[in-house]
Amino acid sequence: MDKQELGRKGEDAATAYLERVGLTVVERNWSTKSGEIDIVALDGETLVLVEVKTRRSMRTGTPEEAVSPTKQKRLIRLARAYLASTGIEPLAVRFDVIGIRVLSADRALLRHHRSAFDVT
Amino acid sequence: MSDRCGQATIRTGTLQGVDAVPVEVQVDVGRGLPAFRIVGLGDVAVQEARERVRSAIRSCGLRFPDCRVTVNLAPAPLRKHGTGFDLPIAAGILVATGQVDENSVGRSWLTGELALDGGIRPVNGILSHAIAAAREQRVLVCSSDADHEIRAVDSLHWRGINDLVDISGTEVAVQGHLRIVSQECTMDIGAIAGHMSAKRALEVAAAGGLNLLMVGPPGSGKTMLARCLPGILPPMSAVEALETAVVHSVAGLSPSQVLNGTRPFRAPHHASTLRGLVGGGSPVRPGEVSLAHNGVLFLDELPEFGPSTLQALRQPMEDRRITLVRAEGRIELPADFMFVAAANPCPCGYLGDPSKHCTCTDGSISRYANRIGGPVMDRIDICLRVDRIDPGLMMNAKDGSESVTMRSRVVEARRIADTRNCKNRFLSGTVLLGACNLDPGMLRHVEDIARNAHLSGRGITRLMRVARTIADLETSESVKHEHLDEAASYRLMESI
Repeated sequence: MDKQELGRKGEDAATAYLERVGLTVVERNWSTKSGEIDIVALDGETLVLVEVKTRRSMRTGTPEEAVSPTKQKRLIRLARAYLASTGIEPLAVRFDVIGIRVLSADRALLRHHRSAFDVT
Repeated sequence: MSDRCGQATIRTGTLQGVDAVPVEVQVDVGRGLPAFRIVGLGDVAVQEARERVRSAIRSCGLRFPDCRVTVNLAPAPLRKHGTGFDLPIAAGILVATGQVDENSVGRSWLTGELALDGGIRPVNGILSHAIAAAREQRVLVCSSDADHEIRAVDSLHWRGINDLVDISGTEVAVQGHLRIVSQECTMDIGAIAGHMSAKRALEVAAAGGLNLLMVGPPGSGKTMLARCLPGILPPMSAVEALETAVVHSVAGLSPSQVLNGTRPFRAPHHASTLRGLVGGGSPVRPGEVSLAHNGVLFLDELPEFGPSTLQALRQPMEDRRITLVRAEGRIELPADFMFVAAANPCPCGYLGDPSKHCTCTDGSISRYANRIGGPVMDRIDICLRVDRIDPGLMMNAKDGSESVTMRSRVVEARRIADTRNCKNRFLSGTVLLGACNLDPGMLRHVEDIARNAHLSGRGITRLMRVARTIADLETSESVKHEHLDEAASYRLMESI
């Protein structure tokens, strides 16, 4: 399983999880030339932008740790672009991070960080 | 669980000197990417409030909005310091998002630091906030730890809370009132053996609020005598106690002693910095001269203090307050203290001691004396020599209760002085002459003393002030011969 495939599988799992906990997924892999937003969902009236990170080992730290301040800044830029291109004006916006650690062929550990970071 | 956009305005204040200047915390929770910004010239502690506020709100089971949160501290050009903005900012966010009813903080003045678990911690200068809130007729909402302090502020309504969730409560705010309850002497002057003349000089100094310098060899009891002063000074009035307590509160010291009416006794070490002594820093912290407001500032080993430090005392000694001018503006702090100092007569300390020989050279003695400097010496009213006492007397020391009787005489003398509408230490010119009520023979006597001792104009004024105070102690209408002679005996500095 290569990196792209692992990432896609992780995003599938995250989407399934979000729908199970009551969110409505509205978009997956929304992309521009400067990057992509893994999942766009709605939690009631709140627009949730989700970054999913999947890892097979803890050698380089937890999956969530990979969402560095630089990456956060890129996601914030992407969020602006998304809001501008769709023209929606949600009441509230939230950045979530979902970290998935693959333990074995059929087991994985998922952690969902609500409001993981903000613009400031 | 939808977020609500909205706005809220909360009243709080920031410390400037010993005053709490009103500040409006405006909170806007609006559409946009999630952000939490604080604008309006807050210092680092104010910026760090973001993390405390966020955690505290979540810890209390309340919701921090996933919206754009903007906090403005108005008036924007005023610099804001400290952690007291945590509570008003949190309250503003909760009101703006509809989680707390606006009416529970409407006519209030909020101040308090938040712990990450939502607990409210006390802030420095809570008394200043209390006074400002009372002036604006607002209910002070703050940490309940401060209850015993703010109880002192007249006609203040307040609500002490322990936790951020308590903010929506509306339980009755209590009305404050200061009563000077009791106050025991920290140290009784009767416990000091001998030193009859020194005790008398202390009594005179206490009666007039006069500046005092004690010169004597090491171990002669200068420090002990000085420490007895708060016990023989009259207890502070409610107004004085509050003034002093505010300064202590701003400096982060517990004002409970002061609120009992005990006058402060501050004895800074001679290695103290200029800022530590007169106040300064950013935000401005009151120095020792202000902490000694309405009390005693005792400088032990006076010549060891740096010349610039001593020179800095001139303004507060003259104006009874200290003015610090800085880029943000002028800040005035109260500094109405009784100046008491102790010094050795020479570097080795034994000049003039009957039993031990002085080993200093003439040059080192005069250099030592010169270090105090004319301007400070000029402001000393009473200068006396304290000698080591006989060991026999020492062993006969007993636990007297002299302080109580001495204080009652001091209180009586001050009562007489108060009828003149001018404190003895401020008397001068014709008012002083009139107060002394000298007959022609006495006038000639003053002239003789002044001529023999080469007194300057200011020296004569000080001599008369001391004489007037002694006459007050003797409940005498006019200054008599013996009063003047006693006063002249306290002019030791003219002879050294």
